[in-house]
Amino acid sequence: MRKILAVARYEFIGAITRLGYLLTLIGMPLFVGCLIAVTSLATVRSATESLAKKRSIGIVDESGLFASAPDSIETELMPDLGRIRSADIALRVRRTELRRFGSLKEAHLALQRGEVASIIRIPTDYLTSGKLQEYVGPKREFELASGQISAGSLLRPWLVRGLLKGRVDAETGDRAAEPAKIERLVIDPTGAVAPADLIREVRPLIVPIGFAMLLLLSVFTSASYLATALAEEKQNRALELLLTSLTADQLFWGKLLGLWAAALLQFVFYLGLVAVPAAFAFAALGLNIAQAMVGICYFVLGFFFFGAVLLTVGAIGNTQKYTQQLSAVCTLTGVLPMMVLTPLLSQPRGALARTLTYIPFTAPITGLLRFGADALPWWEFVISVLVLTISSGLVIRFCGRIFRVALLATGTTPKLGQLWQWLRTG
Amino acid sequence: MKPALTPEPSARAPLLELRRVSKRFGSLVAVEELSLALQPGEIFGLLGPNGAGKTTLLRMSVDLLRPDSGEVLLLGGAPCGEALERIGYLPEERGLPTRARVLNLLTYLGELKGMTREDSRQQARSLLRRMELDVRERSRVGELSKGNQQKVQLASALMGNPQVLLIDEPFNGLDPVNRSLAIELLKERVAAGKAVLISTHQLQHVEQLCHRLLLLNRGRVLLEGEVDAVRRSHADGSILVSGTGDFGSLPGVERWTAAAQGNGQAPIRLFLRSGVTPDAILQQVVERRLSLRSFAPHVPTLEEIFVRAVERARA
Repeated sequence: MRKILAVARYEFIGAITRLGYLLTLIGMPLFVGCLIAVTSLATVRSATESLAKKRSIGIVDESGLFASAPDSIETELMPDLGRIRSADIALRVRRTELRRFGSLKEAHLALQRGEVASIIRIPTDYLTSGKLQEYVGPKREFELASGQISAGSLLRPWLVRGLLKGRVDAETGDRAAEPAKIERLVIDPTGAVAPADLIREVRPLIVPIGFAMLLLLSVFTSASYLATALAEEKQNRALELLLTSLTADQLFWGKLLGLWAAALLQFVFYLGLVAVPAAFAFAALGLNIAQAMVGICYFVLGFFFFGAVLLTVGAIGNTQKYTQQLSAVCTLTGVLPMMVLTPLLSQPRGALARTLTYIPFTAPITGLLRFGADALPWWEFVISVLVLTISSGLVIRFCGRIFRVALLATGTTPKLGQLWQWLRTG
Repeated sequence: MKPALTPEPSARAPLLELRRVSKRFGSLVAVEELSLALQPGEIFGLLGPNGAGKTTLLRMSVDLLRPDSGEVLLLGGAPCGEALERIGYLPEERGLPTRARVLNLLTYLGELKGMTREDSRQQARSLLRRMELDVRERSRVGELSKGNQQKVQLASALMGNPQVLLIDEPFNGLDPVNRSLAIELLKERVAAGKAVLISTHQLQHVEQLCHRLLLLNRGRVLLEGEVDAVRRSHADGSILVSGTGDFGSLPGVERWTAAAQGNGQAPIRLFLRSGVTPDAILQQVVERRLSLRSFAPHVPTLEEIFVRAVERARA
């Protein structure tokens, strides 16, 4: 045990002082935070700028149908955001002026002078053809193609109101312009009805997804690193020196524990950095002990499983390149549930979700996601944990055998037949 | 100069003993029916061409490989557990983790040898000081020169003050100064009653350092015994003479190498007719009043013996 702990401590210190580990540990939250902030800001800014550019739109109404239509449009911007920040009216509503021109030539001059962002020409046959023309200045084609708010879409309610004005009452005109504001209601199992709340729906998934991301991050960084480091040690025969002082089993367990400790530190760091402050700031997140326990259970078992598999990959590989390729295949199987996240969450009790719950490679992430979606019955959780525990035990046992023999095998990369032989003789 | 045997090897039980061990890899015979006993206080030379089975023998000695038959005894027992902690091993194709810091790595290896962390760190520092590497103790292994990495390798084998040192080509990559330092360190271990098994191709080191040797070829023993005895036993009766005069024309001399006319510079090697003794030749030198600076039986170098023995075995 003393030697196992010595190896574990050495591997732990080696792992956590690695630049890649430190960059991942500290850089990842910064990167993710910055990414979320930048993309959110960019989205809001893009929409705001797009509207700002259209503060004034030229109208050439050749049809005469809209002579008495209003001279401005009010657009609600990002209603969800507006709800959260209801006080910030400036963000919520944008007013666009509609400037009328008697001729297209006159409007073109205004566009060239930058007095209007674009021109909408309503031809004489609009009522029968339904066609409008939007004129924009040069270098604006991409903006239109990229799907930013176009003058045409901004004008749609205005056109409807204009067409119906005088023919129907104002209220009917409003409904025709904006036919529905659907309010989603949710009936819970007790029969209580409450407005649908996106945040409340996502909330139970936050902790499981957090655990899943942590597991993947640890497997991708620490375990993959250990596999390639082991391949390097094997390649330069440093392992031969170590194996005269301790057994392959001691080395295997020491490395696995050291690796696990490094992953645990990563986990605790993120928990302290993100989850705890978040729990205080958003008490509504509803973190509960059950979620944390299930998360920790899957995290520990999943990490031991992937750790053992990747250690064996490191022992088998004779070059770092080969080891990296093989590690990538193994870790990708772990990511599979994230790749099929949409069908998994839309049908968390479906055949796909159930199957992935019982496969050791995909069980940790699938189990976590299904638990978050409240679609993991206790008996499925027990089976899944049992499968993972037994397969982790078997993997550790069989990988330990291969590990023992493979560590000293150099030269060509072993084939399946040779692996089978090692498994039997190791 | 060869270190004195301390104590008399035969007086104590062998520290490492291989009894008729054999190892095959498929159809390849790596080692066959090999026996060897490494005594306390001796340096043992393991020789052989590439592929002779030296590495396999070393690996079997430290339990990295199990023999197909025969027995390996380390400190009187099976090579496992605590017995292995008392072995210092330096494999030939060696490398250390390049990212590791020198002191931390040696401390770690000492811990694996059963030392406490504090003792291990202390010994690592002491060894590094001895090897003039103390200023580089915080350096990463990969930052060191090849020679310094080799010294760290040797230090790693010496961690834990092992009873038996099994070292493969220990002087590779060392300059003459550091080679002397390494030899000194090995001699100190032997003086303290430890045993050293050196596998090397550098035969001059075997002549200088080793008490006994074993020459392997294709897994079989070609030669073994005390170094001086092996050399003497391979002497062909020729004489090395230096001086002035016509040594080649002496009766009883069959042929000679180099110039027959001694010019007082390089020695001449005289091959004698059957039945002629060196004493008879010396008698004639005196009678003819040839100027003689040196006169000694020719003892072949280990390199000559090695090449001859291997070629004979291959033939």
